[in-house]
Amino acid sequence: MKGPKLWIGAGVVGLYVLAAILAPWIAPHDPLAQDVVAALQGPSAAHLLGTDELGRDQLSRILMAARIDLPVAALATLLPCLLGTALGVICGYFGGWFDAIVMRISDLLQAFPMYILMIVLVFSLGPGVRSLLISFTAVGWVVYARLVRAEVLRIRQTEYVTAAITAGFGAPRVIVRHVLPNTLRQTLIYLTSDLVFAVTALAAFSFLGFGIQQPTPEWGSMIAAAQPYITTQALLTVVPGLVITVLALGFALLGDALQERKRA
Amino acid sequence: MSALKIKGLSLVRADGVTLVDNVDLALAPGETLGIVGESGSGKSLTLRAILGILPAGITATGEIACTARTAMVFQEPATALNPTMRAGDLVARVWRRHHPGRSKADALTAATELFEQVGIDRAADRLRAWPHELSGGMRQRVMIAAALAAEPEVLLCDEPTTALDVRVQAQILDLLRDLVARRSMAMIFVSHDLAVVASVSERLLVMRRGEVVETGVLTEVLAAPAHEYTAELLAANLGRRLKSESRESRESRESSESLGSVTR
Amino acid sequence: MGRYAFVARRAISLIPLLLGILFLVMLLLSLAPGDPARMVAGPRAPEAEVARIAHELGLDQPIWERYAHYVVQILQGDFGTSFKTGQPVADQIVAQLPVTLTVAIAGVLLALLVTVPLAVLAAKRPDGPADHVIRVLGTLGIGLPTFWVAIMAIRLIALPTGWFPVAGVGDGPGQYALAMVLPSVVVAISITAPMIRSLRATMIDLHEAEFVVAARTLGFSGLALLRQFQLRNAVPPLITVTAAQAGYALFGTVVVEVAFGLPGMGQGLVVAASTRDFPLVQGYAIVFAVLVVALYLIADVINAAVDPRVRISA
Repeated sequence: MKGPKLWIGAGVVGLYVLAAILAPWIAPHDPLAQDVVAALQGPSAAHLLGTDELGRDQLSRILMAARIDLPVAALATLLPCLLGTALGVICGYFGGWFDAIVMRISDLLQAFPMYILMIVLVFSLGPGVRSLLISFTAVGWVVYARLVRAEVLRIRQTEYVTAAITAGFGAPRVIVRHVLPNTLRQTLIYLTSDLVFAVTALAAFSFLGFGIQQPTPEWGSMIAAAQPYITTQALLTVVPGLVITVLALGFALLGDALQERKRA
Repeated sequence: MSALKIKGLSLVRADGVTLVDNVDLALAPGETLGIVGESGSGKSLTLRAILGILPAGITATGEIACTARTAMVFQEPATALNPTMRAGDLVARVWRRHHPGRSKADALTAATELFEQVGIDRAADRLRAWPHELSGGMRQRVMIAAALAAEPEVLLCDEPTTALDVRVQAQILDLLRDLVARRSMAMIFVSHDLAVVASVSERLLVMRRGEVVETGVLTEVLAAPAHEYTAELLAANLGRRLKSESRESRESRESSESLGSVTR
Repeated sequence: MGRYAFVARRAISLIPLLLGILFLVMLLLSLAPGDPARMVAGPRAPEAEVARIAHELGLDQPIWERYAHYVVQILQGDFGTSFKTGQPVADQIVAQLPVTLTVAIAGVLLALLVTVPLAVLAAKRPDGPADHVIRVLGTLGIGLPTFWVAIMAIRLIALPTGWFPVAGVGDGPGQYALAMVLPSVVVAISITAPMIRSLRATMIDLHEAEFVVAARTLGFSGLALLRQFQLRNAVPPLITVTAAQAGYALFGTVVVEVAFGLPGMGQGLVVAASTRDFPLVQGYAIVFAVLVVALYLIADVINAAVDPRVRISA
């Protein structure tokens, strides 16, 4: 069971990354080019997945959207991971009043319904990639910080770190050389499962109108735009949804595989 | 006729390690057999094999012929009792399972009687106690009452006094001796402590590293151990036992506290 | 400690949390661009008029004073008035609360209803065929975007069958109940997988638990063993994960209400946010937060009722 999960997951994610990189060259049309006369057409040789309500080529938009959804989802997990790791290391290694404050804030944030918090944040900052990333980071760092802090506290007690400290190595060196490599594994597992959430949540925010705005191609907002035509041109809704699902499943399989590998 | 007969029992772990090797054992009705051996000698596993409750991944070969009803008293009453079931409910439910068609009121009466039989004072109150509200000794008495509710012909005891402090240990041993005699049950008593085993057994079986090294009538084995391991056990036990006995008698003179008490 | 005392103490301990959440919401909203007073006054109103409205709304006071003022107001059931409609925020939220609560609660109950049998089945033979099928379904459940599932449910079930209102809650209690069915199912789909995963792991652990082994030697088997020994002890961890997932269900109701066009708090929040109606957004955020905190309290109460040890240790 272990092998296939890892390979299928990696394969799916790799395919998406490839599509995102090559999109400008393999997209058959300009994703922004409107042709109102040819709006809401079904699949044809010219438009393999048909056209949307403004006559834009659906396939090209889906491909180009990968260039938005993938990097934003990746940043939406990487940024909280970096912030959380940094805070976790500082809290775990140095403790004291800084640790106390950060932990109280994380208590508060964990008690808060994070999605509502994110909506409030995005509302305050206005829609767009920047606000999305800020709100994902502001809410998401907590888990990483706790994970890393616990790990740092544990590792600090081990002999080789004590030895490194008594040998006179400075804090930064001890952290980078001894502490971080040990926390990486746990963090990576959580990061992968977090990506599943980021992919679907990003699309959900865009669907609600808080995320990436039209005309920029993005899977969630494409679904929102296509929803009125669900009876006549269902494909416009179905395909972007499937594209999101498959990518999320790819990350989920990767996460499962990493988790199982850790246990084995 | 024997109540229980084991021939050539071997237990093998999934990774091929043999835990119990070719053990023979026979128990006559009403007989008390003590099994002694260090931890890892396979004595507890042998007991579990009789009941068919081996941990996952262990396979048994050989013959176990058991015509008698059995019940077991476990080493750690804190984990062997369901934390979400009142003490009296457990005993009453076991009793009803073995007396089909009898009413709940009958079961309650039976449970009260069993509580009295195992020396739980204020039995009517204690029926409603949760396991965590009882002391270690009380919990073990509840466990014994539950076992008795199954009307066993053979009582299997797996280190039933190991988790208890010395004074309570002696009380439980007295109780088991008394119950076995009164109900003319057979009993297998497993312990790493030769002195404890000796105090309740007619026959002795010594195990080491999964094998039976010696077996015979208790007094004979103690008087003239045939195997050097038995002699070692005897010597080690003698010194320790003498010391602890003198302390015990002093303690029992000092405190005339009744059997266990409810801790809150 | 008795169970009432325990619940009361837990409830009191949640008050500082609520106050903290309230402050955080105000702080975040005060960062928002745009002057609320200007929005109320209109783009062409003179500065003096804007200043007068700002004073009226208390916007010229420091945040601490506004915070204290707002807390007192909320305690009196006054959440302010909407910038757009001039209606009391509380009225609007109270009108929308039933829809959101129905969808969320029905979704969580449905999820529990599916979780228990599937997790028990999967745990019965770990790595067996049933376990694999359930695990694949679980992975699928995690990967499906909730809002898309909602739209697909409309397209594939509501429209062809005509059994359910496609948008809104229809007329009368019968239609209302029907309108809740698909949204609840969609919410359930979005939260079930982690619950099954967690309960499955608990059940496998419990299978090996000493008191379950002991129960088997005492003659317990089948349903009695499952119910009285395993499931009862599986309740506390199940409640914990359910509470977390119920929080997620509240987010699920936001997108589900938008997709199904249900007049609930989720849709209300989205509309209020897109029209930049500050008092409304603030009111929604706080009520959602209160719901989540209430959820924790309910979880504690259930755990205290099931697990006798909780009442003492807490």
